[in-house]
Amino acid sequence: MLILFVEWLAFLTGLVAWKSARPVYLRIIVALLGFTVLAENFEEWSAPAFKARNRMLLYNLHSLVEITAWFVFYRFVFAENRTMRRVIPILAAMVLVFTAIEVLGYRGANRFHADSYRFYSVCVIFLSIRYLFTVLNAGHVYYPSREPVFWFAAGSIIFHLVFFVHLTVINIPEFTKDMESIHTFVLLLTIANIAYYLLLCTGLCTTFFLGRRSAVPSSQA
Amino acid sequence: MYRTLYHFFPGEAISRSVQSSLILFAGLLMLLLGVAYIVFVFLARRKQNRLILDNALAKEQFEKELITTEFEVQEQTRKKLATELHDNIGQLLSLTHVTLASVTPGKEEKTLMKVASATELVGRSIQELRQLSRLIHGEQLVRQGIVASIEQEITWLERTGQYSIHFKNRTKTLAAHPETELFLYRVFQEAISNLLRHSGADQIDIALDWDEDLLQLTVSDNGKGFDTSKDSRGLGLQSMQKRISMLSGTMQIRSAPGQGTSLIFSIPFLSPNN
Repeated sequence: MLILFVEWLAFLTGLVAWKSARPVYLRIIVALLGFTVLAENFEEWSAPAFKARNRMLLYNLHSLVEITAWFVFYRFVFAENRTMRRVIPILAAMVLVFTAIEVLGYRGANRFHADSYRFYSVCVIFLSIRYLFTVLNAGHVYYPSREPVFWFAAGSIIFHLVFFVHLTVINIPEFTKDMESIHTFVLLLTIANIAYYLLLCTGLCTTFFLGRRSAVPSSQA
Repeated sequence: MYRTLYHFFPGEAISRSVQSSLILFAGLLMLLLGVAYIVFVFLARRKQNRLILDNALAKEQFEKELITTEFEVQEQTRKKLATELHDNIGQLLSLTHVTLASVTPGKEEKTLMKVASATELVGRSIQELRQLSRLIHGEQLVRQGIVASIEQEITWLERTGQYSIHFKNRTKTLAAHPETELFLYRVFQEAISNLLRHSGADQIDIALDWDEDLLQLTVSDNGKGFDTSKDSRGLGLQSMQKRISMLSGTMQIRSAPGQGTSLIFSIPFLSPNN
C-alpha cells in the first residue's frame, strides 16, 4: 500500500507539474507514472483468478512501456551529445530485441523477462551514471538539486541497482528457499521503490517550485 | 512496480544459508553504493560551484584592479605632464617672452643678442616638448613591455639631477604579459614615489631578473630606512602588496634605520612556451 501511495503521490505531482514541465520531455516520466499507477491499481483490484493468470502479462507489458519511456527520455536528455545520441537508440533496439526473444521465445509471456530486464537495468544505470558524470564535470555553475533530471537519474540508479540484484538472485534455489531472506529482500525492494518514486516526485516538484533553467549542462553533455 | 515478482519463481523448502545472506548483503551494498554515488556527485558539484564562483569573483576583482591601475598610470602621466609644462616649458617660454619684450628698436647689437638668446630658449623649449611627447608616448610604452617602461621612468628621474640611478636589466627576451606588466609597472611607480617622498636617498638601484618562471624586480636606495618590525605599512606599501598578491607574487621589504631600503617583488612570469 505504501508503494501505491508514493506512486500516486509522484503521479499527482506530475500532473500538477505537467504545464510547467520544461523541457517538455519531462512529461514522458509523468506519462510513465500514469501508466504505472493504472497498471498497479488494475493489478491490485482485479479478481484473484484474473490476477493469477494475467499478472505476468501485465508486468511484461508495463516493463515494455517503462523501457521505451526511459530510453526516449535519455535520448532527449543527451540530445546535444552526438555519441550518446547514437548509442541510446542502439541500446534501446538491443534491449527490445532481447526482450522479444525472451518473451516470445525461451521464457514465454507468462513469466517475467528477467534476463532482458537485467540488461535494460544495466543500460539505464549506465545512462544515469553518465548523466551524473556530466553534472559533475560541467564547467559552469550548476545546481543539481534544482534539476529534475538529476533527481530522476538518482531514483533510476537506486531502483535499477536493487532490482538488478533481485532479478539476478531470484532464480538461485538457495535464495528462494530462504523465506527470511526473501522477506528482507522484499523490504529492500520496497525501500528502493519508495526512494524511486519519492525522487521522481522531488524532481517534478522542482519544475514548478523553482522554475526551469537549463535541462542539462549542455556544454558537457 | 514488480514488488510481488518473486512469488512466481520456484522455491519450496525454507532453509537458511550463507549464500542468501551474501545476496542480501549484495543488494544492500548496491543500494548503498547508488546512494553514495549520488551524494558524492551532489557534494562534489556543490564544491565545484563554490570554486567556479570564487574564481569568477577573483577574476572580476582582477579586472577592476586592472582598470584602476590603468587609470593610475594615466593619472601619473598627467601629473608629470602638468609639472613639466609648468616648471620647465612654462618657465622657458616666460623667459623667451621677457627677452623678446625687452628688444628695443635701434639697438641692433643688443637686439641681435636678445634674439639669439630667445632662439636658444625656444630651441630648449622645443627639446622639452619633445621630451614631453616621449612622456605621453611612455604611457604606450607600458604596452611594449616592462623594461621600456622602467627605462622611461628612469630617464625622467635622472632629469631632476638629484639621484644617481643604476638599472641592471638581466632579462634578455622577456615574454609579453601585458596585464602583469602593467601591474608591475604601477607597483614600480609606487615604489619610486614612496622612495622619493620618504627615503631621503640620493642613490637608487633597480634590478630586473627573470629565470623563466619568476620575474624579480628589486628597488633599493641608500636612504634613511625604517624598522620593519614596527607596523609601518602605509597606504603605498599596502597597495603594492595588494597588486603583487593579485599576480600571485610576493613582496619582501628589507630595511633598517640608516641602512636604506630594498623592496623585492617576485611574480610568476612564465614564458609563452610554458
